[in-house]
Amino acid sequence: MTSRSQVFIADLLHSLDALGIESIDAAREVMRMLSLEAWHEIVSSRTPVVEAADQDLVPFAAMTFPTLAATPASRSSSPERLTDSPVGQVRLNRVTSPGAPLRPAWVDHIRPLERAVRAQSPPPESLLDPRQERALLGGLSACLVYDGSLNVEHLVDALAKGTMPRELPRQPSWTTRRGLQVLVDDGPGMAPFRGDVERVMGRLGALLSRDRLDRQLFEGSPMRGCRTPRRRGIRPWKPPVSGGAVLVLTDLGIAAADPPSARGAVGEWLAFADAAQTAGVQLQSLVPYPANRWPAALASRLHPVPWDRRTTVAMVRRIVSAAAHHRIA
Amino acid sequence: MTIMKLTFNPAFFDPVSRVGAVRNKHGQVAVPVPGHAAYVYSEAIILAVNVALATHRPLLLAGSPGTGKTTLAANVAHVLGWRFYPRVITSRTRARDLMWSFDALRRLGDAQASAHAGAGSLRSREAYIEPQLLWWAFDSESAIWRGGDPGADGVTPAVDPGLGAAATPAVVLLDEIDKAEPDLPNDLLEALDTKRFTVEELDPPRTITASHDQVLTFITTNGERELPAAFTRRCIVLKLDPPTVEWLVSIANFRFGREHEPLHRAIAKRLKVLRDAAVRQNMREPSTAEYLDALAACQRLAIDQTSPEWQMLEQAVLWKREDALPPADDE
Repeated sequence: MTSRSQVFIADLLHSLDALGIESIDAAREVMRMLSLEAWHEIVSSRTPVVEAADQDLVPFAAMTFPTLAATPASRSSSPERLTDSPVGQVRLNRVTSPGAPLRPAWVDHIRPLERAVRAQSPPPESLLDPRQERALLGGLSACLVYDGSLNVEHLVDALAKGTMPRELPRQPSWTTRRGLQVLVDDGPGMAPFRGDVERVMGRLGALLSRDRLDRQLFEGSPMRGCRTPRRRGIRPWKPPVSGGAVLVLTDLGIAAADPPSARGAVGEWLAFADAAQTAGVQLQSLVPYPANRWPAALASRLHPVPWDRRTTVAMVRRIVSAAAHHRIA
Repeated sequence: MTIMKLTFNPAFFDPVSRVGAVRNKHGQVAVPVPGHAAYVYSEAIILAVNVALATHRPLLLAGSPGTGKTTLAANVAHVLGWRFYPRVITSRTRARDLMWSFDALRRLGDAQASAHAGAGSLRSREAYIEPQLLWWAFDSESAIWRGGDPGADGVTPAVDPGLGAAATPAVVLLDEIDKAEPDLPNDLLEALDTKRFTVEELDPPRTITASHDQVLTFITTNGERELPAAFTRRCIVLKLDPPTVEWLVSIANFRFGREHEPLHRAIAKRLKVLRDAAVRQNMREPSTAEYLDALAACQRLAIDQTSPEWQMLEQAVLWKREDALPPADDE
């Protein structure tokens, strides 16, 4: 047990004593307020949470399992495959009881959904943690600028040393006021994530206002050219004139594509990273695959952020800071 | 709001005993504050405030907008009779801004004027220090003289921004901490944990200290940004549930009187529909304050839900968006 836990147990004991708490409900509530969830679970586990009749509970050792149905002849049913199987000799098959209908009766009473109802299917849930989505996208949209308030401490320090700075030192600050260019990978590898792309674009629009959002589409890599959603013609990629950041929504060519040439090659992405650095652009990307699948050569150049529920604001800030300093360097 | 059946002695904070407090049929306690809406306490809230006072830890209030996070701190300060120091955190707020500020530019100007004039327009360092809310809450005696000796050369006494009687303990509210840069909570950890910080601009630096039972800190978050685990661990955490119809009606009855309860209930039900619709659309939910605004408008303009003006009022005060209002049959 850590010293931190001991401190909080002291808090717990002090609270229980000072407030004269005797009921277990109140004690649990105090544990929850002190973030002592583990202890809360211990206490909870000592109280019955399921009131089941005794006859419903069967000791595991006394359980009987249905006989597995005969495995259909297939490659996986060969003894060699069974031996190689990571789960040993266990095979999972549909259990059939003699005389039981294969098709449950209730299935026949189900009516297909009306077309209008299907059209109102809910949007996909966010790939990012919904509670942090705004902060995460805000972090991905911000670029580092040195146009904050006057860095008085720096200025006074310089004057105290008898030196006159060539320009007034400014505080660094993160800002979204320069807008954001979003390059959306429209290739076949990103097809499963179309809904997620639209959700992110909607949130970014709400966060930055639409006039600060420049959306462009590309296939393969931005070096093959970009187009806007309303124009068909493909034009060479141009860095944002506002000096804002560039966010790429892409799978980095990880997913299979048909034809294979639809995937952007690592060399093309590196050329794009070079072009962005030359233009002084702060470049970051949002990738719907885990970091261990990213091409190693791109991880340090495109500053990818995992498009995932486990992505945190601190992680985004760290990656975006690296992107900002890469640009400055 | 969940009605909890708790058994404890509210040794540090007992709004039930407050003059004017009323317990409603759901076991909640409403405490009116002159000039403000009444605050309706659940037993969970009373317990959380007591635990925070017993353990000398900040109380972190989490919950969606409109759940009463901000008004709780002011009401607790009123019930306790303590000074109150609120501050809304912004993206530019730094930890030091909550303790003190130092006017280096003015000092630089005075130094240059002093050098040219040869006279003593440069004052002692204390004169350029402005105590901020944590300093006032921790030690108002030293804050008045900006950390220096009373009557020091050129030092004018600072004005206490606190609300409430002097020489009492203090309630501090750091509102919307998730609007700040992610590092701010960690930067505040030591000051809030030890009730101590050092003013480095003073010569020599001076440490400002509070006794642990002198300060109760409220911090609010609406969950937009994650807070550091180390910070959360040092707080008492209370999640405030979204307002229920009964909770809203209780507040409205205290504010506007029971004779209008049918209207209060009807608009509370409508607010719930709007909040649910906003959640589904991932938009901001109308809050308790907007509900009270709607009721105030209804009362003063003699409007109710049958009036032709109602829909316009609903759009302007509760929904506040260009798209159409959710249909009434959602109810």
